[in-house]
Amino acid sequence: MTRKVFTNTRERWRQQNVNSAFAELRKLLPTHPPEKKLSKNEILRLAMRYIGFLVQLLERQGGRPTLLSILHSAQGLASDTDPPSPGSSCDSSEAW
Amino acid sequence: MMEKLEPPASPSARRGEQLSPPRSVSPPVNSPAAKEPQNRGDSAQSGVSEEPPAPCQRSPAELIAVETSDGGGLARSPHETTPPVSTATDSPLNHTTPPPTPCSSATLPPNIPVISLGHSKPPIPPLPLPSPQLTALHPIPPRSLGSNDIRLTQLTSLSAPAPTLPVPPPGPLLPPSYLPGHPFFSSAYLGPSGNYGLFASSRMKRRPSSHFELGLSEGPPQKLARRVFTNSRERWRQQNVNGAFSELRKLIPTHPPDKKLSKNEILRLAMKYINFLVQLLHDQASEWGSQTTEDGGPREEGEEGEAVEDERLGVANSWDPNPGSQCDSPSRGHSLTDRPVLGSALPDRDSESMSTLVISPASSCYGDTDSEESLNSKNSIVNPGACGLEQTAARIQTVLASDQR
Repeated sequence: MTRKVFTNTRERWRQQNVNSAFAELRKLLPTHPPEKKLSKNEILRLAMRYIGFLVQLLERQGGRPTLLSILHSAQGLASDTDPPSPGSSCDSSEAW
Repeated sequence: MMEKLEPPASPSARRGEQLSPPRSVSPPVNSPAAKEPQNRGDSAQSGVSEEPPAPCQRSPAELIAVETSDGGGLARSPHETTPPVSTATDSPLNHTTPPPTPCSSATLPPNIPVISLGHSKPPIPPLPLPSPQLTALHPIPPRSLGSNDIRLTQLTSLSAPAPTLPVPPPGPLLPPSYLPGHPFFSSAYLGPSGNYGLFASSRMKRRPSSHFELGLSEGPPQKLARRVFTNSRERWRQQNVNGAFSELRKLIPTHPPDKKLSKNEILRLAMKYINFLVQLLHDQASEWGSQTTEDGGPREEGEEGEAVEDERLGVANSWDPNPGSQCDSPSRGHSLTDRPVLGSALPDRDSESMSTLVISPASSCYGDTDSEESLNSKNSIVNPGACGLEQTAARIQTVLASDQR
């Protein structure tokens, strides 16, 4: 009985940890509005897109092979799949 | 009666079945067949007399039988069934469509949905609900099939014994597993409808909960069905999340690359990685800025500090750096021309809206009011020109190594 309680508590604590990690990751993701509520699935997928975007951006801005691109290619992570929307949309910033 | 038999939900596959080998449609519905023996033409009966295929086939057969009773014969049945089938296929989630069940009207309540087998469209919501219908359904042993398959196997067997059920069919797709065995269900017939059914049903589910609200008289079977449905839906949802986790895992550089990471680790490493990338960009920006210092460092830095991340939809991070600063388009262009050293890098920068993505995690996500100040301060803090690729590499290694310890 006690063990079950202990297990429940531990699981709850563990789950809280994971949830807080989700929340922190959420803080890093740019959204509009910034306080928009994202589900766990959305957080994960948005993080994927964001990381891909950042890597792509770095590669392009670097104008030279970055270590990241090397790392990624080594790991078979092709961020090419990510649409270069950030880049293209960047031009719109000029209008601002 | 004829109208009732029209299977709105019958999928195109069924139609195909009907069209190609009408005879192959065996009299899956023994009882229905029995009920309408006189209605069926000989041709239908011959087809029917063959082994009892899956329930979906039965429906066609019944349809055919019904059609033939009209005197149209087999030839006519496909045509007649086609329209309803097409309509059915048009609305894959035809939960509400009434009684897809083509089974002989006498046996199957009109509101029993029929699932078409073997086609990619989402299966028609099989069992609407009522317990009696449940009994009619085949309970494909859930364990024997994959979770996805289970959904597929929801064939509305609707067989014979199904008494006329008052329950309306609207419900979302229910995993068939809960149904007590019915011979008609055979997993072989189930096509890979995948998660469509559950996915669609997730939306449908909300609605007609009232349909599920059968009186207690309906009994446990219904609740059981609902629970089963909920379970599989949750399972499907969880699989989705796990898939997202593994995909995110692929983006995080580790050593070795295929190192197993827990969910917690994946999240935290992702955070660190994002922070690292942002800082890297920041450093790159300042590095560029420092490279073109001749023209006025501060201004360059300010321009570098422009954070225009377009990925953020409409984020007001319209980082027009400082309103009073010279860092506006004119000056920007000006500075660009002053940086021939960047060479090929420049065009890229220009195309990228030439503003380095300087995002401070805190400010980027939460409002832009402080972004300028913070970015400016960051620019000053950043060691201009000190961040070479080598340093970056070293930083990467350090970050990852520390994370993995």
